Amino acid sequence: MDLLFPLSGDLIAALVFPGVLGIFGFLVVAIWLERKLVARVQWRFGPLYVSKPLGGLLQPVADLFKLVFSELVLPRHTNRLLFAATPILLFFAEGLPVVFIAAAPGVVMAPHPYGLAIAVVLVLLVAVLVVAMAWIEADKFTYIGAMREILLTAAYEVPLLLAALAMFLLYGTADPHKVVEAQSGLWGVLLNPLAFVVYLVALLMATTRFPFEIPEAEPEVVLGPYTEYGSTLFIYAFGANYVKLYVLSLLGAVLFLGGWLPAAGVLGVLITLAKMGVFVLPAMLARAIYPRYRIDQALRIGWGQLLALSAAAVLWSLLAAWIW
Amino acid sequence: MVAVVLFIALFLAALVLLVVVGYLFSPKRPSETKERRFEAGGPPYGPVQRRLLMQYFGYVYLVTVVEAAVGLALVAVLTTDAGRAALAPLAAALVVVIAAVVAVVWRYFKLLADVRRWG
Amino acid sequence: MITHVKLFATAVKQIFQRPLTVRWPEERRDYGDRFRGFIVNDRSKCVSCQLCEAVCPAKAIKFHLEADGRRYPGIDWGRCILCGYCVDACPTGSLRHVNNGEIVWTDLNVYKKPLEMDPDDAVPLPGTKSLV
Repeated sequence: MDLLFPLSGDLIAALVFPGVLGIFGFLVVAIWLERKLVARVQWRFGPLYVSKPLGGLLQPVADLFKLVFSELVLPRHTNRLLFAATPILLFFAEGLPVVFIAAAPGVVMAPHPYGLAIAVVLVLLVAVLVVAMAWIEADKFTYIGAMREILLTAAYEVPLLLAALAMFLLYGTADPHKVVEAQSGLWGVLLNPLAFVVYLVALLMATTRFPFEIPEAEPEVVLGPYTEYGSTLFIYAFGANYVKLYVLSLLGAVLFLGGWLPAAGVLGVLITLAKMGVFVLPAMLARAIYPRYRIDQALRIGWGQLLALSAAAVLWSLLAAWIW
Repeated sequence: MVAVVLFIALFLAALVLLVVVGYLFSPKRPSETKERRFEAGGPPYGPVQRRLLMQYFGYVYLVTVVEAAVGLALVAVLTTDAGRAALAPLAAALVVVIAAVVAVVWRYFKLLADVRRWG
Repeated sequence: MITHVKLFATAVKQIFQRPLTVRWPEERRDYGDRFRGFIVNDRSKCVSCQLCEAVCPAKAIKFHLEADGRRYPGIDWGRCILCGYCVDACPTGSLRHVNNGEIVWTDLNVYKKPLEMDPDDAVPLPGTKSLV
């Protein structure tokens, strides 16, 4: 293991990538990238005031600074402790699945033979915490947002699981290292393109990006489940969305794009980071391209076409695994 | 294992620390308007007058409780040897149950449609 | 399916085109010389006919007594919409637009500043194109 630091692989995974620094760093870069990309598509500049030589890269840091030192308002009509605790729990729980995903051979916190499957299930299980957070806010907008969120979650859960299952069947394993080794010949996206498409659409649904930005639809419910929060808790509530994007794109890079191949060590980590961009960039661009679906249209897609496509992906995997 | 504990501890500590530091150094000027619910419009008065949409609550329950419980049960079955040995009869029992439910729904489908229309 | 690919291709193509917007405090747009900006009054030509007050759709102009015993119009900038009806209605041409649309007052009580309607007050600072 040719790491340059005196730390072992799993400690690097805990601290740097995909651990704590990776999550917060991704939050800053992703918010900046989203605003910049969407602005450039719309023929305007994007955030350019804070750090002009860097292209405004430190704008999210400035926003973080402003929000952290804003007044923390805990309303009187709900349980104040839970009100403050649920966003922290949500942010933490959304970041928990990275414990099982590997960024390079050895750079994983908890290597487990079923690691990637556990990561997928964890992502789906924590979706309920958004509903808990919205419920504790005790507001009619958050209630509507929570309803929409949980219905959307129910719609994309099965296709996401089936797409992941298709890839596990194809590789015959759910261990992060073995999954990447099984892609030494061809990447997962070429072995099972149906599963890749299903995973991409399920990722858009899971992180409620356009065209599925239904729980947070600003003209309809004022910020949906995050309405009553301000200051630091707002960063956690809103940022949990970006952490979910981080986890799902890391998972997608390992499952579909060959993880850290063809290198290992530090270069492997950088390659995994670059491959995450293949998932993050369309998710950002989709904000500038697509309008928003209605909730019943999105549910119909999730339970209709997406489910059929994911079942077809599983069948394809079974066929391919049987043939080879 | 060390890495997992370190990650969890560091993550939670960073999150809580940010909230606490923010709270200590931010202004504290509470007012009645700030601690009230957010109403997009005038201030609230009188009793609540909007109907609450409770018809989707069953789906919320299904997704959060039933799905989690069934998922954990599946994991318990698939990861223990005794569970895996009983997998084939369990799957057969599940198929029988689903077939029974489908048969009942099929038999009463037209009646249910009429009930929904005329009820 | 092909429409989705075309949408993404259009978006990527637009990323590499120049932005149309102007980075405002550093760059300004040039709107030309006949831009109808803020409205000033030339005291020497004003005959206090009150036609501007009558025609104003936002009721922004009110007349007040000045030191020389005559009445002059004062514009409430909180109400004025820069529509230019008063300029069109003025028979002597004492009311006119200046070329400057970016003026900021530090006081909300902008009605009580009739001196702002002097033509000299509405010129931009030297070196910039507006009063900011």
